[in-house]
Order: sequence, then C-alpha cells, then structure tokens
Amino acid sequence: MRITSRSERSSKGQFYVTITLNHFSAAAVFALFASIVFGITHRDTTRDMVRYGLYCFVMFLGGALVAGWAMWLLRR
Amino acid sequence: MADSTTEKAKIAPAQTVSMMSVIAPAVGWLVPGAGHMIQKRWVRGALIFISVVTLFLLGLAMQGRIYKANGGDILDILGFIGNVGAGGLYIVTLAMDWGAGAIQFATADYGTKFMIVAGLLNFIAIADAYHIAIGKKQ
Repeated sequence: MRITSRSERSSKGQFYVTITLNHFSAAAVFALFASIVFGITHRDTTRDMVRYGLYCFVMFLGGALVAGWAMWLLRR
Repeated sequence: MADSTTEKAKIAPAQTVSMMSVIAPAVGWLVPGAGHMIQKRWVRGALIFISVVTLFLLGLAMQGRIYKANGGDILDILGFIGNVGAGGLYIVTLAMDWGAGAIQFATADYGTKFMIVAGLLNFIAIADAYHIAIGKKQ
C-alpha cells in the first residue's frame, strides 16, 4: 500500500494538497467507507450491521484481488 | 369538545412523522449523516458523515473532476447526479472553485470516482434516514 501527498500553491495563490493513492490503496479506502455506509443502511440491528459491513469489505477487496489475479493470468 | 381533543391527539404523532420524513432527508442531503443525527442515531450519523466526507475530500485531494450541470454527454450527466448527492460538500466545492475541470493524470480518475461514490452513498443514507423517519426501520 502506498500513499503519497504534497502541498503546493496554485497560480491563483490558493493552497492545495495533492494525494496520490496506488490502485490497491484506492480500492481499500473505497471498500472501507462504502462498507460502513452499506452496513448501516442495509441492516436493522447493530450486530447485523457490523457483520454485513465486514462481509461487504471482504467482498470488495477480495473481488479486486481476484480480478487482479485473473487479469494477470489472462495476460500470460 | 372532547371529540376534537381526541382527534388532535390522534393526528399529532402522524404530523410529527410526516414533518420528520421531509426534514430528515433534506438535512441528510445538505450535511451527510445529519438526517440520522436529528433522529438521535448519533453513531450511525457520525459514521456516515465520516465516510462520505472523507471519501469526497480524498477525491478532491486526488484532483478529481467536479461535474457541473450539463445537457451533453450521458456520462457527464450521470457524473453530475452523483456529485449532487454530496449536497453541501458539492455546493461548497462549486462556490470555492475547488476540484479539477478535467482529469490530468491517472490517479485523478480515482478521485473523480471517489466523489461520485460519496454522493451516491449519501443518496442511500438519505433513503435510510427517510425509512427511519416513517418508522419502517429502527
């Protein structure tokens, strides 16, 4: 996982930060926050919310890993 | 006289629910998670707020593209709809002229998607706040 950031000033004098995530970091961040919202909104009890959130997180990240390896195999 | 008092008592809870069913989604759109918070779902509201705002700000920091109202390409229209879901964040971003007008490098595309997804997640949160308001969900 690799996250880099740098701050600069634009030509208008505005201060801004640029963050660069690699593909896996971006997938992990996306999976984390999407899973939290999915868990809260798709289930009724706290226990079910946590379980469904974890399930979504594993599926998001697992899906990305499986798709990555599938593409690696197809390329060979 | 007694009948009218009884009728008012019966109507009052229904009015409260209907008011909340309008206010909660509106507030939830403007400030992610606030629709849950005004219904005393503090933790859920805070988690939704953190998730949506972080995703949107990360997208901005990654130089993601902000879609403006347009009548052109269908993907641009869909991107605009996704961005609008972020509500207040989108309004502030437009007002401050933040975000990129066009994608300049590969990772900026991730940023664009992050901001669209943040808006779409907020739409789901708004629907959830509405369901809580009408009593369909606890």
